[in-house]
Amino acid sequence: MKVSTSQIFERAMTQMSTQQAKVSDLQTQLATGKQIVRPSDDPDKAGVIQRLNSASNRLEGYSDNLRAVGSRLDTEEAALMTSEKVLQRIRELAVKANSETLSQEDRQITAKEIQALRDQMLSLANSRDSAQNYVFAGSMTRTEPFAEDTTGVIAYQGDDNRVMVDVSDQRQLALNRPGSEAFSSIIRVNTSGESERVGFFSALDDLVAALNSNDSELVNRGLAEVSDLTQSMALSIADVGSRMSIAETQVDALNETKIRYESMLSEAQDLDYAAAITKLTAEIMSLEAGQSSFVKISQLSLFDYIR
Amino acid sequence: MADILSIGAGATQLYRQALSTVSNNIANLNTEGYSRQISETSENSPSQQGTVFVGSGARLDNIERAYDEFAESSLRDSGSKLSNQQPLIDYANRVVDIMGSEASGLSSAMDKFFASASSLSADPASINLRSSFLRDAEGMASRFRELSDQLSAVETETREGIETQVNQLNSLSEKLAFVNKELNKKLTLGSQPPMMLDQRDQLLREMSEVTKIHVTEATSGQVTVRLASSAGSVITDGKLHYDLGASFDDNDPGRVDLIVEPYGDRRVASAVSNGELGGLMNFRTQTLAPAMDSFDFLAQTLVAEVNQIHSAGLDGRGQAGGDLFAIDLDFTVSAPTGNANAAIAVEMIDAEEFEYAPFEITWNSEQNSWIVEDQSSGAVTVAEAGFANFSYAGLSITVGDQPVDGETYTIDPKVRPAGGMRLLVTDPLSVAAADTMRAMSDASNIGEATISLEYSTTPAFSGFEYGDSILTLGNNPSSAAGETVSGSYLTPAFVIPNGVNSASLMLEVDSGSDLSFQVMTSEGVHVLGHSIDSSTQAMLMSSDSGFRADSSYSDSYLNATGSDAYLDLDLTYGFLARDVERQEWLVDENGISTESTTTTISATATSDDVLQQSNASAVTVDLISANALVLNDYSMAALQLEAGADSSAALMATWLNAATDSTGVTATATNVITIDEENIDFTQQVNINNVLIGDGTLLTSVRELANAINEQTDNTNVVASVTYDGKLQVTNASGYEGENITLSNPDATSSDNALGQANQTFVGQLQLDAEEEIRFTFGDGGLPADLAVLGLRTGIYVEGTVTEDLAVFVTGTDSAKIAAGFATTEGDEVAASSIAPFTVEFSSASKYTITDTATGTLVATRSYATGDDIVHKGFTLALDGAPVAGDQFVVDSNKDGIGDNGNMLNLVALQNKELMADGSTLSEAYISLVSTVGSKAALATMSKEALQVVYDQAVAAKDQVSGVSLDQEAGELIRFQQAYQASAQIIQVASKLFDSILSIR
Repeated sequence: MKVSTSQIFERAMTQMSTQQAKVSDLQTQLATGKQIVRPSDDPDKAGVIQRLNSASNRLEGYSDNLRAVGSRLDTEEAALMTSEKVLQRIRELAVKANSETLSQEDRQITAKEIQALRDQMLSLANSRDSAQNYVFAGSMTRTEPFAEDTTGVIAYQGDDNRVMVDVSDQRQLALNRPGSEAFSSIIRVNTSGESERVGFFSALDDLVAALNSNDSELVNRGLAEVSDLTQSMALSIADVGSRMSIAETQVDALNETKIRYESMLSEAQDLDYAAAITKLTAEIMSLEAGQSSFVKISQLSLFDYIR
Repeated sequence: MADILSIGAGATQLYRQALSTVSNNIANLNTEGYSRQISETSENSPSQQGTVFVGSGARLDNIERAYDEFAESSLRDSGSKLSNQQPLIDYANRVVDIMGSEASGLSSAMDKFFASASSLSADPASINLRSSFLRDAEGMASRFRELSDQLSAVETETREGIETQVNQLNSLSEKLAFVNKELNKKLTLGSQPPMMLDQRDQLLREMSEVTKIHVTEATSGQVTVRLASSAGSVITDGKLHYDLGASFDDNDPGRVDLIVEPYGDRRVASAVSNGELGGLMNFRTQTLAPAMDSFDFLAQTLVAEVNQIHSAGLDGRGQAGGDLFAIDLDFTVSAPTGNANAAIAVEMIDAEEFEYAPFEITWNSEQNSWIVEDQSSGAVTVAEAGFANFSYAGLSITVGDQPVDGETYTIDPKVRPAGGMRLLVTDPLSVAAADTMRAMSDASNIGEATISLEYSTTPAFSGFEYGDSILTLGNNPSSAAGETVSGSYLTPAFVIPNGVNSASLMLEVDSGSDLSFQVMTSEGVHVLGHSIDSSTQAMLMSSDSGFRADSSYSDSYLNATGSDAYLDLDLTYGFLARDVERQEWLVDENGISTESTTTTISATATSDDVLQQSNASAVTVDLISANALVLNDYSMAALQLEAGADSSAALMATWLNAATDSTGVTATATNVITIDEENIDFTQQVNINNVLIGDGTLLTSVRELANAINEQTDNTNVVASVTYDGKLQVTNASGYEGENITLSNPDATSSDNALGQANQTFVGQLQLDAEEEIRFTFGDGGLPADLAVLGLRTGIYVEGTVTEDLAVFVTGTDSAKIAAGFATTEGDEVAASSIAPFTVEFSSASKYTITDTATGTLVATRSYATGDDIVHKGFTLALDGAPVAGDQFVVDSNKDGIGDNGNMLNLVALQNKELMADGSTLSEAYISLVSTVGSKAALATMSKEALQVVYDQAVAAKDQVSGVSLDQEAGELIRFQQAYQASAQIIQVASKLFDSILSIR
C-alpha cells in the first residue's frame, strides 16, 4: 500500500500534537490539584461537585444559625438562672418575714429588699442579646417586653410567637421562649371566689404591698404564689437547657455530616497525584518515542541513494 | 535504419515527457488538491512487411490524473460529517464552562441568596443581615443577567459563524461556476486539463466541509451542486451560481432558515445537515435554544415563587412586602405600514403568562378592537373592545390615539427574561421577613392553653359537595335564561363561590308556590331566607353536603342589613332596584373625550303581568297578608280583594301608592295590548269588556278597527291607536290605567277574536319608581309567591365580593326557574379572603365561636374536643393545654413583630422545594440544565472520534490513489531515466548502423 509523503508528515504531526495536548492537560491537572479543570472536562462530575458544594454551603448556613441560636440561648439561660436565684432569695425573705416574731417595721424593711430584688428581676426579664434584641419579647424583639401599661401595672407587651430557626434540612429549633411563658403569670382566686390572671410582676408587687400593710393572710398568699413562680421558672430553665443540648448535639451532627460531604467532595474533585504523575510519565514517554521515530522516518528517502 | 531511428527518436520524446510528468509530480508534492499524474503510453501500430508485422515504437497517449471517483466522494462525505461535530463540541463546552463554573455559574449565587435568607431568619431584626440578604439577592439577579448575556454572546457568535459559513459557501460556489465554465470548453472528461479537475475537486471538498452537498457530474466534468436532493436547493449549476443567505428569528435562536437567492425570488432551502454550517445550526436548535429557554424559565419560576412568598409577608415596618424581584421588559414598537404613529405603552402584568414572542396588533374598526397576531405561532386573537387599553398574554397595552382601520404595530420584546431580572427592594427594612398574622392568647385567659398558628395559602374549606356554582348558569339574570330546579331541603341548589362579585340569583315562581330561598355559610350561619325550625336546620346542614360537622346553626344574621349584616355585606332577599350612576364623557371638537359628568338615574323597576284572580266568594280575601311584604323597611298592609272583584294592576298600584309616604315608592299601572297587523283577523268580531266593537259588520282595516274601539271608549274604558309601524295598540282610557281588559268573541264557538288574541282577560303591569331604592323583603310568613302576586321575581342580591362559598337552598316542594347574574370574579380568591383578623372565644370548655374582627360578625360556632385544631380559612390554630370558658385567642396582624422570621423560613424552604415540573428543585434544575448541555458535548466528542477514524480511512484511500510518494517518484524517475538512456542508445545504434552502411566501400 502506498502512503504519500505528505501524509506521512501530516499524520506524524497530528499524533504528536494530540500527545502534546494530553501532556498539557495532565500538567494543568497537576498544577491545580483538581481532576476537573473546566466543567466541560466532565459535566456530570461537575454537576455532582456543584451539588455537593451546595449541600456543604447549606450546612455552613445551619452552623451559622446554630451559632446565632447558641449566643441567644446563652443570654436566655443566664437571665433565667439569675432570675431563679433572685426568686429563691425573695422566697427566703418572704418565709422569714412571714414568721410571727417579726415586727411590722421588720416586714417593711423586707418589703424594701424584695422591691429591690423585683426591680432586678424586671431588668432581667428585659434582657437583650448581643444584637440588642429583647430576648423575652416573642417576635417583637424591639419592644420592651415588661413595661408599665396605662394602668401603671407591669404587663407583658410582647407576643406569644416562638421564632423557629432551621438548624438542619429537617429540624427547626425555637430561638426563644416568649416572656409570657418565661415569666409566667399565675391564677389567683380572688375574694369573690373567681379565678383571675395575675402577671408575674403584679404578683411580686402584691407581695410587697402585703408586707408593707402587714397583712399576714396576703403575705401567705404571696408566699404560695412565689413558690408557683419559682416552679414555672424552673420549667423555663429546663426548656432553655433542653434547647441548648439539642443545639449542641446538632452542632456535632452537622460537623459529622460536613466531614462526610468534604470527603465526598474531595473524592469527586481532587486529583490522585500518584496516578496522575504515572500517567504523565507514560504520556511523555510516548510523545518522546513519537518524536524520535518521526525524526528517523522522515530522513528515509530513496533520493539519498540515487547517485 | 530509419525505422530504428524513428523508434528511438519517438521513445526519447516519450520518456522525456514521462520524466517531466514525474518531475511535475515531485514538484507538486505539497500542492493542495493535486492528484498524481501518470503518463499513459501505447505501442505504435506496426508496419507490415510481407507477412510480418514489425513494431514501430511507442507513443504518449495521455497524461492522466490518478483518480478514484468513489474515494473522492467518500472523502467529501466523511469530511462533512466530521466537520459537523466541531462547532457542537466547541460551543457546548463553552456553555458548560460558563454555566458550570463555580465562580461564574448560578449555583453559587443561588446558594448565597438562600444562605443569606437563612442567616436573616436567625435574627430578622438585624439591619446588617437584612442588608446582606439584599446584597446577595442583587448578586443572584446580576448573575442571572450576566449568564443571560453570556448565552446571548454565544448566540451572536454562532450567528456570525453561520453567516461566515454561508459566505464561504457562496464564494466557493462562485469559483466552482468559473471552473465549470472552463470545463465547458471541452466535451469529454478525458480531454480536460487535470489541473482544472483538481481545482474542481478541491472546491467540492471545501464546500462539503461547510455542509453536505449533492454533486452530479456531466460528461464534460462540469458539476451541479445541491444542498439537498430536491431541485430547489441548487447552488451551482454549470456556469451559474445562486447565492445563499441565512435568516434568523430574534426570539427563537433555534430557528434559522437558509434562503437561496435572498435578494431574488427567495427559495427556502430544506434543512441542511452536516458540515460546519449544519453543526452550528444543530447547536442552536438542539442545545442553545433549549438551554436559553430553560434558563429563562428558571428565572421566571424563581422570581414568581420568591415574589409570591415575599409579598405574603410583612416587612420591618409592619407593612405588606411587595415583589422582591422584577423582570424588566423592554419592547420595541414599530409600525410596518408606516402610517401609524400612536403612542403605545406596554406593561407586564403577569410574567408567567407572557411568552416572550413578538406580536402584531391591527385595528379593526368594524369589531372596534385590536386583532392580535402572535408572530411565532401565527395564532390570532381579538382583544376586548375599545382602542385605548387591552390585555394580551400577561401584558397590558395602552394606545394613545384613536387608530384608523388597518393601523398596524409590531411589538417585540427586547430582552430575554433572565437578562431582565432586577432587584426591586433596596431598603433593608422593606425585606418582608415576618409572617402576616400571629396568634396571641388573651392576657386574662384563665385556662392553661397556649396557642400556635400555622398559615397556608390553601383554605381549609374545600367547597360544598353538592350544588353547582352560579357561574355555570351564565351571567344572564333574565328569566328566559333560567334553569329549572326543584325544591330540596337536603342539598344546596347552587353555590355562590368565593370571590364572586355582585352576585344575584332570581327565582321565578307562581303566586301559589311554596318555594323559598335559604342562603347559608359552611359554618351554618343562616344569612338569607326564612326562619326555620330545628328539624329543617338539621336537614339543611348535613355534613354530607360539606357543612362542618362540629358547627352549629345560627340565625343571628338572618336577613340583617347594614352593620348588623353578616360580615357587613350588603345582602338582600326579596326584590331590589337601586339608583344608577352613569358616567358620561364630554367630547371636544376633535372628538376626543376629555372630562366626564356623573348623572344619577333614580331607581325604577317594571313588573311582569300581575296576578289575575277573581274573588267569587262573598267575603273579602287577602291576596297578600298584612306584614308579609316589607317595602323599604315599611311593613305593607294586606292587599285585599273584595267579594266579586277581580285583581288588577290598578288595584295593586293603588295599594302600593297608599304607602308612598312611608316607602318613597310610587307605582304606576299600565295595561297595553299590542297586536301586529298580520295577526288581526278581519273575519271575526270582538267584544272588549263585553261590549261589541263596531256595528256588527266585519271591519276591513286596522284604522277602522281602532276607530270602532274608540267609539265605544265610554262603555269599555279602553282606547286604541295605530303605531307608526302599523300595529294596533289597545290600552286603558285615561283614569282607568292598569284595569283589566277582557277580550271575547260574540260568536261563542270561536276561541279567539278579531284582534287575533285568545278570549281572555289581560292584566296589566306595574312600574315602580323611587328616588334611591326599591327594596322588597319578606315579613311575617311572606314568601316569594307574595312577590309573584305583584309580577315580581324574588332574588338574592349580594353586593360586593363574597369571601367564602355560600350555599343557596331552594326549599319547598314545587319547581321553578332560576337565573343568575354576577360581575367579574376576583383573581386571587384565597388571598382576598384569608387575611382577615379574627378572635376565637371559648364559651365553654367544649364550645367556641369565631368572630371576624373587622365586622364583629360571629362567623362560626363550633364544638371543641381536647386536641382539636381550630381551622379557619387558611389558618390552623393548635392549642396546647385545655381552654376554659371565657378564654380568648386573637389572630391579628403581625405588624410590630420585627423579630418574626416566618416568611423568611418560607423563602429558605423554597431552596428544597420541588418546584419544577419534573420534581426537581431550582438548583437541581440548573445543574441538570448544565449537564444536559454537557452530555450533548460529550456525545459530539465521541461521534467525532469515531468519524475521525472514518475520515482518516477515506483520506488514506484517496491518498493511495492520488497521493504523491517521493519514493515512488524516485523509482519512476530512475525507470524513465534508464528508458530514456536506452532510447538514446537506439538512436546511437541507428546512427552506427547508418555509419556502417556508409562505411562500406
